Amino acid sequence: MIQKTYMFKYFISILAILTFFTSNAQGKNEIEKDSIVYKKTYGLRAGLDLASLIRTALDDEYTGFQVLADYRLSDRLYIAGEIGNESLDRISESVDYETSGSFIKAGVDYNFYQNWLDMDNMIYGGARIGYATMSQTLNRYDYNIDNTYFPVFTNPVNREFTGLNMIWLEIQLGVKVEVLNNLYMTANFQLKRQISEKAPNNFDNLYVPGYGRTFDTGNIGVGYTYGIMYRIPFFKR
Amino acid sequence: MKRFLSILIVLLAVILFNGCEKDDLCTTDQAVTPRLVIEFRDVLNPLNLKAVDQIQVQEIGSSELAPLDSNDSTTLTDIETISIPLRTDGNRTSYDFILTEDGVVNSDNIDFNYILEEEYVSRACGFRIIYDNLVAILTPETTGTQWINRTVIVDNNITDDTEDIHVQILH
Repeated sequence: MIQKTYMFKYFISILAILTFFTSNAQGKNEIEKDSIVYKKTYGLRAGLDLASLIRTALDDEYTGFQVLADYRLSDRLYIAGEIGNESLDRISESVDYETSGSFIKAGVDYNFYQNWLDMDNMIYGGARIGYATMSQTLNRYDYNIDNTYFPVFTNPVNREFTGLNMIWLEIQLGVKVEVLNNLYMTANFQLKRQISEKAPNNFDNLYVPGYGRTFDTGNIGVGYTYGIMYRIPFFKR
Repeated sequence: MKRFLSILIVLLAVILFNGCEKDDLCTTDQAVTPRLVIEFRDVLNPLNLKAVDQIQVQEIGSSELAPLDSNDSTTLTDIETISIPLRTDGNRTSYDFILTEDGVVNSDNIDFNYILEEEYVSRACGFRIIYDNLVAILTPETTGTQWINRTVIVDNNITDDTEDIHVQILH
């Protein structure tokens, strides 16, 4: 029930963004009449995810680093991907665990935004396939009991599960805005669906690098990134 | 235009950051460590249930009475079935079954031995215990009368306490 409420939040955010998209598409006819052709810059754009760096600084339980990149294929289509690593050492009510590992995401971004003149901004939809490999350590757990006649039994352990992995599909909605020449600010929202996973025996993947936390019910994950990217221009076309 | 997009970025980040990383709740519909379900039957005709007048159960060494049903009642009268917790930190729970009949209190002891098996439930609920190879041993008394005649293990594998009966007490 709680999870549904959160999902709703996201859907509302998506709706709001989509509304912006549609309202922005209006000015394009005027530009097409213009005889001047503005050339597009092609090149490799690479950057850092600031969200994980900031969280690393603020959240004692979290460490993360992520590199973002895309390469322009045509006016609107980009090859895009992310690579990084994350670790989370989480203390919760019933289970304490620690996950660490690396991930790679690869796919495409499609720009929905009609740029004016020589602007080069994106409001984009992205598709990714993601792969993470990680290990998880169970540090403590409680037994779920329906009475308190016997004291709650807490098990401090150090049970490590290695060789875990997950493959997922991801869609992204986001923006990349040129704030200075060739320098971009980017932010996106990610919705993910698990395809396959190797989970620990008699335990579960509670956090997956690049995917985020898992939910007890369902194979859906969510995430976000905001960061800064620099484009190394190769040529104009 | 750029200003508009910058605002959008900030909004997006705030909304999303706010929505993430909430911990789940352990709800009662999730799997829980099962209790031992005991049924009282007639020793003369074990096919028939036979209610006990007034029953209380207490672990040896404990000063408190054990809960006997889902409402955690510790004293039940005219009852045919009770469900009691078992220890999850060892392989044995020793209970006194205290019967009060016509003002006379009679306490008999049964040892329950089992093997603990852990099962993962969820991130919110943690793990639970399943009890395997359940054995019930009625402690013989040298003096006095025992109200319990014998015990019968119906199901020696305790995974569920809502449908299964695990032990019959014949009296």
